[in-house]
Amino acid sequence: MCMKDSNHIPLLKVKSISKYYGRRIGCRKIDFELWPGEVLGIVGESGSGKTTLLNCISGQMEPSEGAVWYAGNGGVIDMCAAPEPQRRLAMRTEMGTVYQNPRDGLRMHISAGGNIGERLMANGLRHYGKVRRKALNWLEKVEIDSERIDDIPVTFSGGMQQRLQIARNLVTNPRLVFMDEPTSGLDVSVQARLLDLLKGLVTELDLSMVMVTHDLAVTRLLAHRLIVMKDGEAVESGLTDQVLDDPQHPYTQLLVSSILHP
Amino acid sequence: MNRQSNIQSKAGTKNSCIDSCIMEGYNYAYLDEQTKRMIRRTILKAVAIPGHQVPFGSREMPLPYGWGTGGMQITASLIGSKDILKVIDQGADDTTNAVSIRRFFSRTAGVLTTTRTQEATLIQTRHRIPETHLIKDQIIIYQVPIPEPLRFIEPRDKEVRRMHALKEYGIMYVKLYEDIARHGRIAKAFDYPVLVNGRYIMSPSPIPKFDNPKMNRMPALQLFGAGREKRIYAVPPYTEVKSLDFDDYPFEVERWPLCCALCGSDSSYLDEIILDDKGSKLFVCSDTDHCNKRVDKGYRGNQEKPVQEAKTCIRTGERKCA
Amino acid sequence: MKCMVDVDKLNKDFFLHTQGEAKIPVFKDFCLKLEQGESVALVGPSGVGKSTLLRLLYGNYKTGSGKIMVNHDGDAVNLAGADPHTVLHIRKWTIGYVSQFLRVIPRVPAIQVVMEPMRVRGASEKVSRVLAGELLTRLRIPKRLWSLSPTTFSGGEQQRINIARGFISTYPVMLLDEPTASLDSDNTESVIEIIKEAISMGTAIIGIFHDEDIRNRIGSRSVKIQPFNNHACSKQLIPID
Repeated sequence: MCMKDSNHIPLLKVKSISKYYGRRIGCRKIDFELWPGEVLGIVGESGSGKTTLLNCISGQMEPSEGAVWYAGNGGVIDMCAAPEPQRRLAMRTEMGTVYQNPRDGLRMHISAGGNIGERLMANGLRHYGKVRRKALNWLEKVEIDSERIDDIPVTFSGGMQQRLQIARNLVTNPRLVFMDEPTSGLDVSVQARLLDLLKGLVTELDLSMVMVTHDLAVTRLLAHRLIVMKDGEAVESGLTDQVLDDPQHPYTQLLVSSILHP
Repeated sequence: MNRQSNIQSKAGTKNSCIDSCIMEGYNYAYLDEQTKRMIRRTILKAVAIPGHQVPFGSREMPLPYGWGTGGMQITASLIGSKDILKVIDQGADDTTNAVSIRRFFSRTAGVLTTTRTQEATLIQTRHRIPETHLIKDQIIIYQVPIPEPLRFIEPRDKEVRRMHALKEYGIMYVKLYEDIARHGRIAKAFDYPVLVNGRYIMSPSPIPKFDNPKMNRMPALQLFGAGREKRIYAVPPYTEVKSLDFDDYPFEVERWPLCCALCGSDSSYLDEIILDDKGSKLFVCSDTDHCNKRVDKGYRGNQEKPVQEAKTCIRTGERKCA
Repeated sequence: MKCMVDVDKLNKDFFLHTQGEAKIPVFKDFCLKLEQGESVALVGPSGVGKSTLLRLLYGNYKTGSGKIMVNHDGDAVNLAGADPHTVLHIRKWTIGYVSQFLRVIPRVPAIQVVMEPMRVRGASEKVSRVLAGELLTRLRIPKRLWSLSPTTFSGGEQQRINIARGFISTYPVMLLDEPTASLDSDNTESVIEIIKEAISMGTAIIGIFHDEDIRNRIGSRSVKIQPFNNHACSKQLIPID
């Protein structure tokens, strides 16, 4: 076994990203790097700028200043300055976004199979049988009964919708996935199932992931590193277990000490 | 039928008296010259970018939206006194809409009109392409109710335009996928989306998919006008027009179990006509000009024997001609 | 002998901002050297900071000041102040840790939990499964439990899962936090055996073992950690033997 890992370039380099809504701060001067195969958690209370930051780095929102360098298959591109076709191509082939509300990430009146197949067909697959096979394969991976392939997502439970979203995003083997509160709104047993699934997929596909959540327990199980945000700024960052077990900033200490343990 | 009498004009057929025949108090061909110039500029732009929808300042026409106002505005902008106009609705020259529009232009532009496809220089159509092959220097003008093929999938206009700009057409195939998943085949029978010149996905207007192959590399210029939606788009002559499909579910056109009951044609688009309460029916050409032409030449269908059941034929695609 | 870990003038205080800005000092200028194949047992009364030291060495706690030099694949890397990416790399290849608590995602089968460190190093599913099975058998975890989630296991079973997880892949340095605390004598024997095997293969061990007998059997050098007093020059490290 080789001790040196093959990847020694960060997949994502976030440089001093700020977003202002008029005079209000969305997020301010955020820096971090994301390495291949790494899961980064962004935690903080509601309104702390987590989702703003996520939208800025995933190309869905233009930051007021800063740069996001993405080292994709087609070379390094600045997600904030690259031409839109190039950016959208990277977004639909090498990236994925799982939204908190499945309604934002799924086409609710298109069948599960169609939802999974969309990215494949957008990337040029013109063979119904192949699309179908891949969709069935992914339904199995995300533990949805293959008989539901022609059902529309409105007939699915919350947990199933969330898993369908994941399948829809991962079907093109992206390298980077953004998740906005993927487990909130699900009851705990469903949450556990989803976490287990995500963890398996991250390892199996060597995925990198940026995950916004307010659930510290989730980050401990999934994230390698954490960024703690408060009022739009990153007040603390580091290894997940270090931030949670030995928090330095008063706010992080408050956050950690406020968790309920069953 | 008398071929000569087919070209009709109002009050005598001499071109010299046309000007005096045009209705007084109106602009030539109804629209004012500034509007025509604006529409012509839009048409030029549309021809330059095949399949791309160009917005234009659609005017009020003296009939409601949905009755062909878009097509009429294009026709009005292009028509000159030497043009010969044909107007069809669902393939027929004698339906209300076709008759009204034909009369409108013969009165406001004083042009000659015809029902014969090969004689026309301008053909305004609703929902069909004539069976007769169109030739160079002819212009066919389609009336379009909804020009945006992506509209029913993505309701946000801004997003739709971005999808066209970036050629993100995956969702169009999702629609076809859904059809096959549900019905075992692509069920869309009219307004079947096409890819123009390998670049833009375009709605061919609600023509049956039977007509789609005729659009490909057509020698005539094809113009599309949507009055209510304020869009004009075009397919220049000899442009590639491909109907969307899957490798394993290729594009197919409709077939009929029988031939036209009047002219015996086995290669034209047929309308089904129910004859009585017992389910007796006839199939006849939708293109009246095509049918008449064949009857004139002596072709006959099997008019006496209406069919009652034709399922086996539909499945095998077999044709039984009289 | 190769020096695997060199702790130099380590300082650590805890600041409790939410509890009246309390400051709890733990280490002052603490030094410790660990060589290849050596075993060190940390001794001292409860609450003196034995577990804290292990956690500092694992990068779990943040070092106040001082250096923790780790021999990471031939390179001397300062764990204190290393970026998270490096720390993760060190944890993947150089330093293993058996904690007192098992933290796992509910629903993941025990055997998968044990296999994971092998899998992240890139070992195949098959090889990892065989090795995990061998270890679980040695630790007397009945086969019928392998496919169940360890969250429902007894304390002793959970601890053995943790040990199996720690020892499935070989690390040059192992940190053991009371690995035999809740085990019966048979299982304790197995664990001692596993630890001794690791040492014989060159693994350096720092552990907390409350039982003196176990310390002796592993052949540890004991390092006594004294309760912190506020004398700036207090000497922390007093070798016993």
